[in-house]
Amino acid sequence: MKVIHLFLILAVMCCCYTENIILIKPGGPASTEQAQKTMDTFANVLSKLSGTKVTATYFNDESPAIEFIKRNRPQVGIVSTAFYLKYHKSFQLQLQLQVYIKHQNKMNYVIAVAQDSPVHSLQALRGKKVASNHLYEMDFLSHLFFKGTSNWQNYTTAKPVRRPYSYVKRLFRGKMDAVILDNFQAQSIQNLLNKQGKKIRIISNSQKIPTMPVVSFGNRYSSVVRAMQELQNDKQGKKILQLFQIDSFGQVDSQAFTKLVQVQR
Amino acid sequence: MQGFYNKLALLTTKRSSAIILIAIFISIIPSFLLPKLQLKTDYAELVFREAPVYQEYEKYTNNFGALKALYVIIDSPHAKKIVEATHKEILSLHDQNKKPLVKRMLFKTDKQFFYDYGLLFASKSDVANVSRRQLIELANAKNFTQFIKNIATSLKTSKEQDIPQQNYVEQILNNLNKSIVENKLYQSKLPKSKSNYDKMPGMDEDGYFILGKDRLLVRIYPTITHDDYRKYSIFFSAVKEILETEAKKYNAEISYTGSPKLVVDEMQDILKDAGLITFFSLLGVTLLFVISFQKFIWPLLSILVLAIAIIWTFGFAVVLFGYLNVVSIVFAAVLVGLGIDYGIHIVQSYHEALCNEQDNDKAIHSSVSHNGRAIITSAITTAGAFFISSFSGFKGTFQLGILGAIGILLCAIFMLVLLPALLSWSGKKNKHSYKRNRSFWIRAVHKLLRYPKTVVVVTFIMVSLGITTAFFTHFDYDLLKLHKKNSLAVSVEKEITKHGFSSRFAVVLHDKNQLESLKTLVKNLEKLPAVEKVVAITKLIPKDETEKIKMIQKVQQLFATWNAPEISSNIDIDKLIVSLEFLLEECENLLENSLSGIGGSDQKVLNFLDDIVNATEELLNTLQTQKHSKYKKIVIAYQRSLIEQFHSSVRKVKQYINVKPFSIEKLPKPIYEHFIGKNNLSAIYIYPKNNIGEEVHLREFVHQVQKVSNRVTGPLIGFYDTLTTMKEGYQQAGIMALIAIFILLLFEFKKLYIAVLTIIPLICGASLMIGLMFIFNIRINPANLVALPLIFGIGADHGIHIAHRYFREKHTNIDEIVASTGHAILITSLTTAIGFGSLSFADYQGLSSLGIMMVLGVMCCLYTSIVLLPAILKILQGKRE
Repeated sequence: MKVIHLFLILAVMCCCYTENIILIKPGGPASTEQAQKTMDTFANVLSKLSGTKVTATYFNDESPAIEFIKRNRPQVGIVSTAFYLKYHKSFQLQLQLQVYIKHQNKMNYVIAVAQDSPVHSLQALRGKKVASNHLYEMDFLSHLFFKGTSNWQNYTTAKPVRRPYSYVKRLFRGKMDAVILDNFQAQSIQNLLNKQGKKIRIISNSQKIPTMPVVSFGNRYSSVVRAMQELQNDKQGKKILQLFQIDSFGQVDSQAFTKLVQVQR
Repeated sequence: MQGFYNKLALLTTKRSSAIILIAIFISIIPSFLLPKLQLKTDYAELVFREAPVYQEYEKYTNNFGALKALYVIIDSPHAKKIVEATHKEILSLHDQNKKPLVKRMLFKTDKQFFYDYGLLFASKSDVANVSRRQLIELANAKNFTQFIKNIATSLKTSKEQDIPQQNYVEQILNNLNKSIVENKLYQSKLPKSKSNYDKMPGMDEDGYFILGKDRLLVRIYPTITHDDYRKYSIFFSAVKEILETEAKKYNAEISYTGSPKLVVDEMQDILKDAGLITFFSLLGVTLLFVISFQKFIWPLLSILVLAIAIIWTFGFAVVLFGYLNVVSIVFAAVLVGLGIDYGIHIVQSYHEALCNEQDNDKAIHSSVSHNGRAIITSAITTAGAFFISSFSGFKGTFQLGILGAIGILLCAIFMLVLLPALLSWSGKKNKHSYKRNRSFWIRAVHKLLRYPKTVVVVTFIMVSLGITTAFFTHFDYDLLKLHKKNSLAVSVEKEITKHGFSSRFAVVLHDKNQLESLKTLVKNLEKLPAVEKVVAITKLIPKDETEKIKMIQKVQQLFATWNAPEISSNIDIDKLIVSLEFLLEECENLLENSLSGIGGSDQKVLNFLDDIVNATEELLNTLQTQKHSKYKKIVIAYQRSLIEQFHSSVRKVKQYINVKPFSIEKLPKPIYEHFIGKNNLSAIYIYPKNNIGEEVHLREFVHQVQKVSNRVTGPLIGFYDTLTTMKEGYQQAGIMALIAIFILLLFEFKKLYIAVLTIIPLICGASLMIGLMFIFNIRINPANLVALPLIFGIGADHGIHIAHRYFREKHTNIDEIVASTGHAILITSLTTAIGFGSLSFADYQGLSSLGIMMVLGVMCCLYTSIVLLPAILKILQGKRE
């Protein structure tokens, strides 16, 4: 009888076992509530592929994300590179996969000004107005451009914004001096500006950094990680990847992250 | 053997009257048989029907009826009236035996079918658009303000990948702006669905098949299942009469094409050309005869003898076959070309003897005894070549080979027996003195023969080049090229081919109940690189039917109960501005969200949103900077026109929204019958991608399709099979004939080197002809292929006459041989060249190419027999001496 009880308990445990995924992109679009529908679809596809119940939650701000991690102890996270660098020790983040965008697993940031702007260098930006959705992770961005010698807050009037394109438009109206964009944003925005006959000029490029990693919290095996790799081979999975505008969750370039951690030290 | 010819010569002069009477008497027998001879114009008669491709073709016609249709194009705004007024009469057409002439007529399809199932054939995205409720929500807007709000809400709730499908939004905003600025109403056209669920490609809104505006396409399938000129002619004339009578009332233009029309045109052109050409060629030959021999009676007698030989051959045709086919019918022309040559040789010799002041009978003796053996050898050789060619495996040449062989032998016999008798009979009355005139051409040949080595070297270089070009000469498979230039039927055929209605396709039959294997077969055929498209019943089975029905059912009630709301005749501009600002904000949010996601951005979505943002900003600027009263009227007009368009879109969907579950049996009858025949057979139609007029493309298509299914048939496969069999048959027959000629020459002359020398004019002449054909860009085609046995016969014949004079009669004066036998060869060649050369003026390009090829071939053989061979003989003679 005890054996049967034990078996039933194990069966209930298995059925109730849920894997939580957290997606953290400070400066990203939409709120946690607004994105929940998309995250549910994402979780459903992963549930189907992994055979485990999955829930997914999105955060575009760091503090509520930290609180969520502490409270819910998620198994897997898709986090910004800056977040990984900052918290990989405290949350024992283990690199599992990496986001691939347009067949690349590397990206960089650029400082863009209007084509006819008098600003031609990073030095010339001192005291000027700079905006970016990436400035929600200002320390990381400062480190990339100033190598520890300064930071955006002290160097300029830096403004974290969630509408990069409208701030690019302000460059041409003289209401903003520079905008920090990632290379994908810069390309897309330049394509939009081409129709209006406008151009942005890049005055500084950051070093190449790895794209967002997929991490596990602690050294745990997760079937969801495997399922994420299979998304590109699944019809619904493909749609989700298309929605996120990424190619796949692929092999992680651990060396690139290690190098970045060392440089930051 | 020579004694036999001497006795024969004696007999023809002593018993001339008796021979003439007997000949006339016995010619009566075949004359009575002639009316029994039938002409089978059915192209199916040209092939042995045991081959799988024809068996499968029979299976198709037994189950589906005729495969080839008459295509009728009616150019008129009243085309529909014409076809509606005539179709019943056309369908009830009967032949003399009261058998129906028309199997079916396709000109429109049942519209109700599209109301019931059309949406199931739409793309999934179009069905999704309908089921998304967006259309009905926009159509429910009572004013433009509400319309803009609905768009903004719709964009907000759309999935990112669906957003660019709503590209009409920018146009709506821009056109309103333009209307306000210019104070003139610019209507926005709503986007059309990607798939037309209300009609199939090539159909108008009423279900009529069209090629363009006011250009109606009608397909009329006869009950005739094989290409038969006479039957097609009756069918076509009857259909044409009905259509043209009705078309006159509306001044409409009608053009026709398709196999029935092309076959009728082809035969009519041939018959028309043949009549004119026969007259002019006979005139030319007679004139040539008269000029050469200064006598009118001799050509007349030669032609009379030839006519008797041909009548006898017709008699044999009745006894052996009972009918002639479209290839064997040319045997008479072949006999005229070759048979007259024997007469010319007799007359030439006879003329020569008369010039040497011999009396009439002695001249005849001399002619028959000199030429008898050469004529018989030549006739046996040519007849042997014809006979062998009848075993080429192509039924079309089987009859031609047999009749050609018999005819040649009959010509030789009659020319050796009857012509001398006639010459003897006619010569007794006339006592003329004759002068030998050495023609300009013979004098030119004599001059050339002063340099025999140069002649031989130059000729052999040209022959080598000719042989080389043979590797670059391809068989022309494009039958449309054989029709007369600027043929309307051909240009219409090319036009309908562009619209995918070509009559040149392949067919595979398959059990309709084995749907899965049918689908696999269609997929495999579609994968073939040489295939343009595959049309099968599986294409008419809607994809994702269950899913689509589920999607449609969600909105079925909504559309069914929808009634167009009253469109407001007023507008509050301030509220409109607020709704536009709302739209602007939503689009900007979407754009910024897209730009700051975790991955890259979809440039299409970004562009679309950016365009709306710019258009909205511009419109807002216009609305806010001008006085409301100034543009209010135009906004109200714009609002009405736009929302009315949405109303009509919803009304259209409403017609199709009550979809029913589909099954193949529900297809409109003409379409169903096109794909499903008796015995549950389903037809798959396969269309080629590349120009199948080029052999390489046609072969590639046929081979690829045959790899997928070995039961493939259809016009294209049958056509390829027939022409390939014909081409290979002629190739085989050519080689066999060459071997046969060589063996007969060996048998006749008993020495290998004489046989080799005798065959030189034939081989070198044929090689030079191929070289010249390459230079003049004349390709071998099914029509001029018949020239090959003729050239073989002529080449062999010329060689034999020269060799016979030189070796048999030990006549060592080569210049003399050229002057006498050469002159006869010149005349025979010129008569053949005039006879066939006149074909080159034919409208029908097939006959024209035959004429040109014959002239080239005959001239080349003339050169090689009276210049090259004598030059070689001179060199050999010089060495011996």
